[in-house]
Amino acid sequence: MLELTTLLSFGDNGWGDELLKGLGVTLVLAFATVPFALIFSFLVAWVKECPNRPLRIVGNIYTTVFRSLPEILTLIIIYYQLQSFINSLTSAIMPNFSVSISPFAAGMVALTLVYSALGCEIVRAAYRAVGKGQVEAAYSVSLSRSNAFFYVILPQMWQHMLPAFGNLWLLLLKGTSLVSIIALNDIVRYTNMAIATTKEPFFFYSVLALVFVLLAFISGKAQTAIEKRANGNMVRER
Amino acid sequence: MEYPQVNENPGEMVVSISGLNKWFGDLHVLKNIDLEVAKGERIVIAGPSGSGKSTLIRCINFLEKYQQGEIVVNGITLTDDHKTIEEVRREVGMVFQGFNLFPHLTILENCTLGPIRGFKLNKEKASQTAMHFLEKVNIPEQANKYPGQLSGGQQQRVAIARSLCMNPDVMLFDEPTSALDPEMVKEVLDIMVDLAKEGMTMLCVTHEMGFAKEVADRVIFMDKGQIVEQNKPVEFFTNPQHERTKLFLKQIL
Repeated sequence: MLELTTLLSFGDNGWGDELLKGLGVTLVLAFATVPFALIFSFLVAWVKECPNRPLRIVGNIYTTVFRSLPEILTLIIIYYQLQSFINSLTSAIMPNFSVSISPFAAGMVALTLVYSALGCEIVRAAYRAVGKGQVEAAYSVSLSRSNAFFYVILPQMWQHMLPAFGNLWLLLLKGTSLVSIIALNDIVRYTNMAIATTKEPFFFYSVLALVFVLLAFISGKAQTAIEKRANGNMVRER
Repeated sequence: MEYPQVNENPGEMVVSISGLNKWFGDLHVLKNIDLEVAKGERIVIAGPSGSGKSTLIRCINFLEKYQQGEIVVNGITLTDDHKTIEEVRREVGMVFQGFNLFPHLTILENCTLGPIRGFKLNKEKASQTAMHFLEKVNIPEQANKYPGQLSGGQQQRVAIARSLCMNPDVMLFDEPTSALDPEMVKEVLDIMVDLAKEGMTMLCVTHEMGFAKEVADRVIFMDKGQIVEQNKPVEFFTNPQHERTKLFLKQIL
């Protein structure tokens, strides 16, 4: 047992610092993806609800594609294909210009695409749950469309969205592990490196599992706190 | 009880509707509606469900689009331009069947949101106005509660105060008492009677025929998207002209 814990020590003999670094990358990737995924969720939801039919079709194709593709496939396409695709496009105009997508950026883009396709359905459902009556009441007191959205509709959407978004956040945390496949040094990749060197798969996978369980636990606590805050004002109908 | 009669000077029209037609898909829900509402006039619109009465008043503040016709509110001709629509909505207060208060805001904030965001009134002034109208509907003590803590009757009175805070020139009531428990109907109707007494121009879609008899200057009967008959309440109830009106009155009275 003592022998095993030294494997987690910091410094040259242990993997503690590497794993921590990997955890950092995992968390930074997840947190960096959240704002983009959130904004895209709203944008795609808006596109899918707008009166313009061609735009709606584009929105539907987007969600159908990125919900159906395995995340790993999306990731691989973004990382390996998008780069050469962009470069082949630009080479005609600017021969000396070439783009290279870092694994981190590719991961962010892929995760944003996948999770906004899922998130937009949450946004749409919440918008509908708030109800038309609220929009009409807002209009009837002469609010503009944007004021009606930001002061009346959006504050009420959170209570419908937060439970589902909490779920999606956990999926996203786990989803980051796929990025280890395209050579991003996240916690999963470091774990695999540690196992390759030490031949202690059971121990390191257990540690990894514990880390993810712990992250989920903390996320759950945070979600409860946020929900409480968002619902604080909403007193249920008698 | 005597109320001041209809404005005898018909020059000042708050709402004039001409040749209004509306379709929901193939369904022709409003057919050639012409309606002039004078300043201070109290109109009750009655009719069976599906007759288009709610749709008609919802067209006045453009909650419903319409395909043909013209609506002029206080000299502003309604178009589908957002600026114009917002301008018209400032002149028109509306009270809904389901109250539609904003559940995430206090009673006071419900009343001030429109004035603060809609016409950039400062918060203090808006709160003063709101308290004035909350007193008028007899619930100033609830100002800091949330809608969910109030009874239906109280919520509807708040909804009336919320509309009044915009200082509208005409108030639309869309079956304001239909969603209420019977014992709460009166407290809402009393407020509406008070408003009528003060000379507010009102268009009420309601099944409260007692209210119509007491305060209306004119009762309009609609069926299948048309105005079938309109008359002063006394004549309307005692001497209806059309078969359809007679049938309707027999069923509800």
